[in-house]
Amino acid sequence: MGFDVTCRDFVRFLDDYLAGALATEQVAAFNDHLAACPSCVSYMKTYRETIRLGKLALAPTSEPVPDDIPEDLVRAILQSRK
Amino acid sequence: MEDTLLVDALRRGEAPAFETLVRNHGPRLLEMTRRLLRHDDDAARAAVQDAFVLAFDAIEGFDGVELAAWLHDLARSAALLRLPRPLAEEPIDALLPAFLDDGHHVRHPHAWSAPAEAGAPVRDAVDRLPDAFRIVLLLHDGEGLGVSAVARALGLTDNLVKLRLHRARQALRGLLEAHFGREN
Ligand SMILES: [Zn+2]
Repeated sequence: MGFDVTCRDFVRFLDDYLAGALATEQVAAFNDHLAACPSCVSYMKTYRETIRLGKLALAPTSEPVPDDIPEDLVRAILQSRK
Repeated sequence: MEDTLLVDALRRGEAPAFETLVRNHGPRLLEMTRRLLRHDDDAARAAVQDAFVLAFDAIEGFDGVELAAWLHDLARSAALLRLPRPLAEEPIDALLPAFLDDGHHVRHPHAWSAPAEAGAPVRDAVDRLPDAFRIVLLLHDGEGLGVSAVARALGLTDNLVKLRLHRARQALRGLLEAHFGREN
């Protein structure tokens, strides 16, 4: 018999749950909660999707980079070498 | 020009090599510092300049492994130094899920999905987060730094980084739900 997990608990420890950082008995209790709670299933799905979208959108290579850099900035940088 | 040849030319102090370095790597660095420093273009440019000045000085000691990554790290550190401190930490509770006294969700979280090309709206949503949360999200989920590396970069504890990352992701989820949930 595990301990009771509320929706608040589930959301609070969601990163640890998704990262596999919880103890076995905690995972079991969280799984029991998920099986009975469509709200937390929906929350977890959209939370995971948020992380995926964030990583895609924020990765350093995610946007095409214009070939140019403001000319005055190039000059300023090369000047500062002297 | 190959990076190794470029580094050799830089070490010999050949002026054209410095310009090549700036033109090859500057645009990507500027894009990154602009993202970190959001609406402060002057600071973003200054951070790129800081990074190149450091690189010019340190090229002798550069181990030659990964020029782009080395410059990227220098520019990222320079940008972090130029963030307004303390990092803005306005409450984002309105974007976080709410719970009843018994611990249940106040309302059922809506299902939503994003179109294939969602980069721009996601970046706009991230830009709306206060810096204390936005920067942790950018460093961890964007730049791919681990929790401890983010903590070192910002002078925070690992636990505070984890907490802010979790809050930032929850807040972003709230913003994306409002954005994409409406379109479906
Ligand atoms: Zn629940």
